[in-house]
Amino acid sequence: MHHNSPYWNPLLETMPREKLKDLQLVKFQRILRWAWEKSPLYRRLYDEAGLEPGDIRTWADVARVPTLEKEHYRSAQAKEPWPYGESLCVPLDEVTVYHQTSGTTGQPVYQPDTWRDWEWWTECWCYIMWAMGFRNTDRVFLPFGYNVFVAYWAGHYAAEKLGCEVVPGGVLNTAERLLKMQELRVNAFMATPTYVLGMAEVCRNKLGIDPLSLGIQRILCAGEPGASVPSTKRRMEEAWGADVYDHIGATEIGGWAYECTAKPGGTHVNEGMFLVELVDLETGLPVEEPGRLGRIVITAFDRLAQPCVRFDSKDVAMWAEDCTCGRTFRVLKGGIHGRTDHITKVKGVLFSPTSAEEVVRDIPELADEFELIVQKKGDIDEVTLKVELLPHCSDLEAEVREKLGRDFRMKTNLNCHLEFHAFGQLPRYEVKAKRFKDLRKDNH
Amino acid sequence: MSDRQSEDAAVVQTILKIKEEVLKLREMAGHLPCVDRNCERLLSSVAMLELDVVDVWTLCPDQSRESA
Repeated sequence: MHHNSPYWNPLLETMPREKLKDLQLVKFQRILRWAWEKSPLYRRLYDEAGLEPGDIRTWADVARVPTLEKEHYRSAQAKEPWPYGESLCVPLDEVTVYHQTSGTTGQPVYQPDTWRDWEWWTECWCYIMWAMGFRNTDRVFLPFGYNVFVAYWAGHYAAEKLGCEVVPGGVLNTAERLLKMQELRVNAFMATPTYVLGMAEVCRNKLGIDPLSLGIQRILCAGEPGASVPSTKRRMEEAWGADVYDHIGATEIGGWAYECTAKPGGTHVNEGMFLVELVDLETGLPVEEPGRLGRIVITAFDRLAQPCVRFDSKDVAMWAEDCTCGRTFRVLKGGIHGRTDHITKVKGVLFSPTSAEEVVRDIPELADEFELIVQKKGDIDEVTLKVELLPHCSDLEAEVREKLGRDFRMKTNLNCHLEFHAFGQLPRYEVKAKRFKDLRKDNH
Repeated sequence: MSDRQSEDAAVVQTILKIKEEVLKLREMAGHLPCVDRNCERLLSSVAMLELDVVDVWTLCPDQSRESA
């Protein structure tokens, strides 16, 4: 059957806001009751707050429900039924797949899913991929290590469900992946922004092939905010001659936001499947208006084995104005702006490392990689930005230095110490990059 | 009830009937591993139709395909 609809599910994606809110409240009540009935972790959390599911009748009640953090999962796990312990809401023999978080902020969280949950993951990714224009005529390459990290697993299954032809590019190095993409004439792939740019660099500099010649039309990005950072998005699109789209998801949550082909400068929240609340970084009060940063508290309405109810993701975002695509799902302007543990005060100024990415990637003479370090020099915070000039721009350091310093100051209200390195000297990353180091925290 | 609402109700009824039939099949022949596990997968797919369509209709009854 041929489908002209730009929406995977117009019933939900174009639902009037008022109705959508009504539906969300009912779905919130349903998953809260499930978690309370099935999980000792949630039962204890709500008992301690003096709450029962029947108490949640209005949106004001929803805001009173305690938030959950990674640490709650960790303390409930690593006990029987092994390894999910008190966070598990189904019999262990119904769990059909295991994943885990990367553990960058501590002990990894174990993530169980039943087959139904996995279908749900896939369904959420169908919303994502359909909105980006993926169809059954696409041949999609997945250049990621198929392993315990959820990464693009659901992308693989969703691409199959959409009828795309999926090429799993698991245990290959970057050059081998690129040659396979060329050989098979794939027209789409998925990767982190860091890897999308890294692949283009390997293609040009190691293989001597112009990435534009591969005929890629669509690239789905996840794992880092880059595809919603205008200068990084532009670099990727120019390198590959493709449309680049952002998506947001997490192991404990699911794939919950996506950019559509209208490219509204942000990502739609899948509000049929998730509740996203933004709360003020300092007061914790709801943030409803566009343009103000808030911390994301998120609920997955339909994930059952290990529910995610008012999970404090530590990510920071802001609402945007409505999109022109016809979806009524709200848009997060610029996707994810950073994490609360990365957004920090430097010399008394609120500083987001993502702003450095915007500045660096907007200067064409600079290579894709950079590193940002905040440290104390005596009692004073000092920011160091390390960059590389592209090989053919090595004699332009003086003018680039002046522009970079000026743009950084304009963007952040901060001065920084600039270090120029030879092309290829800064670390390269295959998955998520670690470009920001706050060395002050070591002294606290 | 408008024609469109009748159509929507029929869609919902069809999804729920499929679920009922799969459950019936599992009851009848679930002792066969091939039937049991394939029913599990069918039910998971039906669950997605419930989330996408049935929930919209039953949890939020005023919503019809008019918005589409």
